[in-house]
Amino acid sequence: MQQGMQGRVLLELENIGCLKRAELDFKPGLNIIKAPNASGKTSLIKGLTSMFSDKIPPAHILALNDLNGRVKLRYGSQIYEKIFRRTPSGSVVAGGSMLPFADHRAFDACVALAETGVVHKITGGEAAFREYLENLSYGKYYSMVISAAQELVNESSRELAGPSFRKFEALPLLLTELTNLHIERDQIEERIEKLKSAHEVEVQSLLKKMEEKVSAFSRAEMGLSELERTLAREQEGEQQLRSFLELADDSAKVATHIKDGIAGSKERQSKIKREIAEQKGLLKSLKNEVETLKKQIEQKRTKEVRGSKELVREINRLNKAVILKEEEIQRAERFPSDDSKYPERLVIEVRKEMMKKIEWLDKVIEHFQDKYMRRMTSARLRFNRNVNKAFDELELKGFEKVFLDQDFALHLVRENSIQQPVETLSASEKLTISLILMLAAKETFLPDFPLFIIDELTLSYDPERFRHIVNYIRRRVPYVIVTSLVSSGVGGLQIAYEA
Amino acid sequence: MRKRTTKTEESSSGHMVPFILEFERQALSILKDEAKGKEQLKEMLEDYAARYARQSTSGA
Repeated sequence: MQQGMQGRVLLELENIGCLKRAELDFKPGLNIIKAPNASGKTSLIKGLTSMFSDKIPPAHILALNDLNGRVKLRYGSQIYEKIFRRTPSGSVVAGGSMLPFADHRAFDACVALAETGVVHKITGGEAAFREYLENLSYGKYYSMVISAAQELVNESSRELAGPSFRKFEALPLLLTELTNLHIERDQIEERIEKLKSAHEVEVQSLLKKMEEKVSAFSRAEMGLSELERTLAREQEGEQQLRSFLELADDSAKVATHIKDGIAGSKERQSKIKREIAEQKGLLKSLKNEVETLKKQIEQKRTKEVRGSKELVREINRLNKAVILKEEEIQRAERFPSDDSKYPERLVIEVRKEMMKKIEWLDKVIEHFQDKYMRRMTSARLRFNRNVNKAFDELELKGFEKVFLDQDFALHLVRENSIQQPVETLSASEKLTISLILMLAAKETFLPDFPLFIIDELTLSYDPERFRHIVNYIRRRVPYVIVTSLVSSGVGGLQIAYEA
Repeated sequence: MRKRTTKTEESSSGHMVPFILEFERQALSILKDEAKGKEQLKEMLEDYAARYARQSTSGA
């Protein structure tokens, strides 16, 4: 069953094209609208078309001198109404309801106006039908996805090749340079440590030496004390001997003996005194040595390590170079804070994300290319089948085969197998081919659409051929609407029906 | 000649591309409303590509 419509349909038009007001009652079957030139036949068709397709711009539908217009379609208890309004700027906008089976593709497959796709192409001598089938088969949506995805891939690729990302390519080199600076600084720090270590060894050696001298000094002091005590005891012994000598006046023998003792003591005292003097000399010498060592150690500790000054300067220079290099790396690896798209973000992360985006978009392109090819091939083959079916059923003489090739170019093959270019067809043949291609498109893509409209394209047809084609259409479409020119003696739009 | 593809085949090929079926459904719906279709389509492609990138880079 055909979708949406059956029974009578009342069409009301107000301020549409050159029609101020019109009402037409359509019935299933053939509806022939008869009127003289400039009486509103095409306006009526455009108004009716606006109820199922937006292909005709509203400005081409609303009457030129009017601010508002409307198209109302009453079917049974349902009313569908479209309103046209001219805005203060002069443009025309449309709103309201469309028919439930509205489909913009019907303009190309079910409305034979001079400006309709196939008619325009054929009468203009064109033979390229890819776009026509893209629209009807929805292949153009796949094509639009492919084109949009490709644009995004190109934009992203250009961005990745741009200065923000090219700067990032210098990062490995910058990191190597930073590593080299660190290595150089470490080596110099090692040299400084070695120098400091050698210096400390010298200090420790002096300290050890000083400790030995202090120890020797201490021992010498003890030796001196011992000598002084020995001397004191000897002097005390001499004094006792002298006391004994006074008491021994009467005994010469004893006195002599004591005198010998005193002389011996004096001799020993002299020896001890010499030894004390020597010991004191030693002590003085040791004290001087210790003082000298102390000064040397003090000097070593306060004085800079020899050769380290230049190295420390070099370290400072390297530290500055490291800071500069780190800043350079930061600039290369991160987008600046005022970047409009990726403020403060790591370039490597953004780059990875963009590569992944491109990866997905490439997959999408491949997927939709495959779907586009399959859909278009299927659409072309079905279209070709329906074209040949129409030719066969109409039993039109003159053409052996009409088909679209793989490149969607139209081929018209005469009975003698000679291909005829579209532009060399006669006017009536062009119209016949147009109608057949449109019918084939309708059968292929909109088989249930209930209307087929032909606007004054049959002028150059002989009545017999016209009737033949219209009858073929009537067998397939519930409502066929044809406009027909009559002499100017007939007033307004008149409609004739053939069930 | 390429054979007619079944819905099952379309689905299985679609599963090879993450989010493709969901994207295709939304994209075709947007494109049928022609006025702003192309711009919205590009935004949608960007969104899905970003979603894929996030999922891939987070290792999910």
